[in-house]
Amino acid sequence: MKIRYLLFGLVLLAVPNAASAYLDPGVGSMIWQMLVAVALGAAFTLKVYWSKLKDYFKGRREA
Amino acid sequence: MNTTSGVLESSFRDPSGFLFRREGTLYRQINRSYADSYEKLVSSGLYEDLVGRGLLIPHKDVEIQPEKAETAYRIIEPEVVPFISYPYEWSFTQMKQAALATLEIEKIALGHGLTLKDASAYNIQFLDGRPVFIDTLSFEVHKPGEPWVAYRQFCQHFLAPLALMAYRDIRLNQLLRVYIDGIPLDLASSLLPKRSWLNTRMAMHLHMHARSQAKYADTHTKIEPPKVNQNALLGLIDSLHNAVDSLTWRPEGTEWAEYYTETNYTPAGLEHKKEVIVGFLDEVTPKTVWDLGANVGMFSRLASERGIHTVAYDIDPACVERNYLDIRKKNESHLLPLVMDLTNPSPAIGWDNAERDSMVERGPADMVFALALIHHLAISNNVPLERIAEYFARICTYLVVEFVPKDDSQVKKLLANREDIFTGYTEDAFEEAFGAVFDMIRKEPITDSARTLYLMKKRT
Repeated sequence: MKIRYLLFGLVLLAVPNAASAYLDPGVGSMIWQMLVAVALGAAFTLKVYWSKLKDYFKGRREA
Repeated sequence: MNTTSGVLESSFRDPSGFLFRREGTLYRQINRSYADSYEKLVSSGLYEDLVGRGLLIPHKDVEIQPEKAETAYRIIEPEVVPFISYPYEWSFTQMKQAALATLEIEKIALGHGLTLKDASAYNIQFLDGRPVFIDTLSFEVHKPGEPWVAYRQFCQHFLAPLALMAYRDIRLNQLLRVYIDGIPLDLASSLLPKRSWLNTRMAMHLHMHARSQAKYADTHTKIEPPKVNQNALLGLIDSLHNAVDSLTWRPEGTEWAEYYTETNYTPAGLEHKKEVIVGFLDEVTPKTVWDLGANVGMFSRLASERGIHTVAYDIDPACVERNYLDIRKKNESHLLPLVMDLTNPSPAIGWDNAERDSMVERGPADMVFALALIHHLAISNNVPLERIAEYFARICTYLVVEFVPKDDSQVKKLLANREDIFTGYTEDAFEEAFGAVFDMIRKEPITDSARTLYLMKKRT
């Protein structure tokens, strides 16, 4: 429960500029997106570096 | 409705602009409030990039009087999509391709400093088998740190129906007919089997997402959008892409997918039927054809291969899927397969029942094929022949119709386990009923068969 309030507080403090879109993003969807995007962003970064690393070694082997 | 002038009734939600018709030509007015985003779309190179990849509908600037001058920034004329289809008419792979195209567009847009402000399935149409985004006004400048405002909509419009089709039942995309803004995630979550939780991406983007929505459903205080950096956004798009890509469906065991191996035509009879239809096409030279009950599109291709825009409707999602996969594999053009139950065709839905057109409103077609169909409508669905004729007269100018008599083995199958109450189902009665609204132009009995092909023209 405490974590939930803490997260909610973080979201409230997050960014001062409001969304300009006409579409209602949905509060629950926005909060959920923020939570998963942090994890997915980290995973994505690892994935990009991993493929770069693979390409590097592949390149060395072929050279 | 296909009005020849005025603002399209589906075009009211987005204040950036709207579609209108003038003397039959389709235009899009861009409002001044959208000027910055439009300029950025062009100057960033995103427009050219997307059009070059065939992902966005091209348009040209035109100098005409705006429809609403007080808000107008400029008018563009988009390339015309020959037939507008809706997600509840798509097969599994059509839906999947539409979803992947939307994500691809968002990824490319982010690279140019823009983002999609909506992810509606209605923004995708099919041109020569390929998904293309039709709403030029869906792009806006991406402010660093802003989340993807269309995440909820993407999950509702694409991920939820695809997951339901793949995990539960292919027919569940019909829920989109009821829910015009996509399938509510709590409903999708409750309908999906428990094993879908094992797919971490389904668990994340559908099940847990639905719970988050429920948890904050009563929050009515102003929430500032959370900060999501560019990498996190790309991670989100990548995860959604993998989620969509992980869903598969194999069309097997449905009634119609094996139909052509079970028909009662001899090879000579089938060849003759094709020859007769080709003769009719060459005689009439229609610009558009609707093939009703098209199965996997064997006869539809007689038209589409002649460069005629052809819609191949079938009730069986497996047939439509096979037809679409063939189009993709062979890079075919001019053919659009769609799922349609002719006994209950797509209605007009949305605000004022005018946002999405019914099947009839999207016609009439120059020519309709009703091949090996009439017995299903008259006998399986008990529709009187007069009413079938009247319906066909509403959706076409020329009709190619095949009469299948009662002693045909396919009709015998339909009557095998029910009482024959169809004493009026005869060739004479058929000709009389259709003769009331159509002029008979040709009548051709098919070789080695009790069936007859007719070419008719709607009486004006």
